[in-house]
Amino acid sequence: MSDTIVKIENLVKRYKELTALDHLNIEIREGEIFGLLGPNGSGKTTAINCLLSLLNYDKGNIEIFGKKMTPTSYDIKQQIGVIMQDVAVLEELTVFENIDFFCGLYIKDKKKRKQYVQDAIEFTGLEDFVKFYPKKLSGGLLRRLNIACGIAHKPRLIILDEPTVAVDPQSRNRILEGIQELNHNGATIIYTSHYMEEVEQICTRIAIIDKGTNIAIGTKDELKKMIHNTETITIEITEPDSRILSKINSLKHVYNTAFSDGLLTVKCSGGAHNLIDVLAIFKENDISFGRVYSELPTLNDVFLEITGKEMRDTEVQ
Amino acid sequence: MKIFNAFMKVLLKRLNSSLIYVVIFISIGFAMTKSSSSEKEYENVRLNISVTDLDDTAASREVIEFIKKGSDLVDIGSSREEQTDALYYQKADVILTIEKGFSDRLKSGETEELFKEYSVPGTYSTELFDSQLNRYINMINVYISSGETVETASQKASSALSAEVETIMYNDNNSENNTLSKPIYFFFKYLAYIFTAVLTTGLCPIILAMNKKKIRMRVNCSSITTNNQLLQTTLGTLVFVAGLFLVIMTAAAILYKSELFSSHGLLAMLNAIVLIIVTMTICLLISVLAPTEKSISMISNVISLGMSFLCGVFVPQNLLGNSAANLGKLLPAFWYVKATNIIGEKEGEVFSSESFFSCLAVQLAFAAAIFAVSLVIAKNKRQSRS
Repeated sequence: MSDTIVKIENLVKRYKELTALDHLNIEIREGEIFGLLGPNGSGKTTAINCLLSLLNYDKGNIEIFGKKMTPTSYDIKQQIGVIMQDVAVLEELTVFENIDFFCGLYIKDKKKRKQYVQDAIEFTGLEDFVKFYPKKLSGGLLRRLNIACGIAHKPRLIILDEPTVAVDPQSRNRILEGIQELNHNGATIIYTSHYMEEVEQICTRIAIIDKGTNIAIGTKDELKKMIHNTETITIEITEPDSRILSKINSLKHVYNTAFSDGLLTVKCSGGAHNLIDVLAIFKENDISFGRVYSELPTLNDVFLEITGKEMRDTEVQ
Repeated sequence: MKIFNAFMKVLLKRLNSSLIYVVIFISIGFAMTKSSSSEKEYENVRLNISVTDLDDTAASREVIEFIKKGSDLVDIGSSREEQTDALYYQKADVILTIEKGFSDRLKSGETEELFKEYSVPGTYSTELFDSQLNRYINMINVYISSGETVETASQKASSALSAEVETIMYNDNNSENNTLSKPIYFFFKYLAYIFTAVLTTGLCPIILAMNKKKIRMRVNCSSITTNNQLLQTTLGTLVFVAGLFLVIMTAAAILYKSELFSSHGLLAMLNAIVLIIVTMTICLLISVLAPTEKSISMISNVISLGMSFLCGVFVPQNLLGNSAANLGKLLPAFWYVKATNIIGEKEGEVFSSESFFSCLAVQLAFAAAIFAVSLVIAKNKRQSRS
């Protein structure tokens, strides 16, 4: 097993009456892309800010690279790259000057820094925009600049706090591919997001956070195995009679059916041929149907089953 | 020195608004110096006079010659309507008719009914012309009574009154009576406005830009120590402030030359150094309160203009009302202006090194108090954030 690079133990952070982090426990190993998944307000950013010693916490312990993290742990900070949720660049500096400025906070040697800045520009594909001021950049390019500023000094640990918020799909894919490339180059990544698809796509291990505590942790397959649901079948159909519904419900692996807006949803737990069995009932009773989907459980299903609410609903709230 | 370098880059990008203030201020200083030079700048006012000579004698012609020396003769026509139009449209200031028998009346010592005069009553030009003409007639009478003929009396009176007295403007200079001349006094007095305006519009946005929450958090994530960050930001601030002071003092040295380096000039410089320190702390306080960048220019105007009016920069302190003066005493610029008045012995102040240094001490006390308040606010903000 790889070395533990980040260790968060029993972390508690309170804002007066509100408990933002409630005994949060996380261990992140070297070489991982670790996803911190949770709805807005679940405590992801607070956890990251505590991890970086930007916020004081009430209880618990944080270790990075085997050393206790404090606001004056400059040797640890030297090896961390941070990409904040809000784009943090100076409006008065050009793209090049911004990357050089943030890289210069870590790298003193001018020659080395110049090379690192160039590498970061190439990595993020900003070659054509080096003389642009941030105001002139699109949302996607700004996010790429934000990433370039965070990774230019080639850190061992990179923390990305929702780096794809308000980014178009094309730029989002480019950012996600970049993160995977950084990981292949040897960096350990902590990636927070409320976009389940992104986390599912790139993270090797995931912690799901709700109300400041981690409710589940593991690889995506491990997380999916934690829940009852293994398959969700959706069938386009006119309103079925109760006889058909009871027949479907009586199938061995089916544990829930629901009809809404012309779609019949059948939830299954285990079993290999659930779709065939359901369709056989339709055929036997000569019932016509439209499109049919069969989906494996998603992280949203995991979140739904563990917390009893949908992650997307929570976002809206 | 990455933070210092970035500070300077941001400063250069935002220097324009500050430069405008400095350029205008130095230009005004230059204009004031030029306008107060001791060269002759005084000359008599020339009026437009229309003269009709009904007497047509040597004496009456001599009157016209006398008038021509100090005024310009204009031809406006002889009808009553033309004359009133000329007065209305200010083509002529006075319409004078030398009555028939002018010479004879003078000879017999009469001074009444020599002229018929139309003018706009109560105007400065009428009074001036009447006074000149009366002096001329009286002078002729004096010569006639001493036995001269009308003709020679007229000539002598004309030449006697035409003699010009050399006028030299008083320049309450400076090094001889050991105070400040008016131009350098006003230059230093207006620094209270300029320093506040330039530093609040120039420095506050830079500090705000460098201290934006997201930038500060991002820098705090780096391996630069907090002390180093503070040191580099302070260094940037000092370079800006020192640069501004140097530019202003260089301009003063060019404009006022040796007077700047006289004992009172050096005291004025010392006073300005204390003022710029106070202004720096005001900027720090504004930045700590973290207004939006858009509101900076409004805040700058309110503080710089408000303080200047209340503290006697634009209005002399001895003309301020009691309540305004009492309110002004609660502001540091009041003590700066008072110290400048003491050095320049203006507005009723008399030089005393004791009162001058007391004013400096009050300003420094203000600086210390504002700095302390800024630190308390900054600390509270930091604590509430974490």
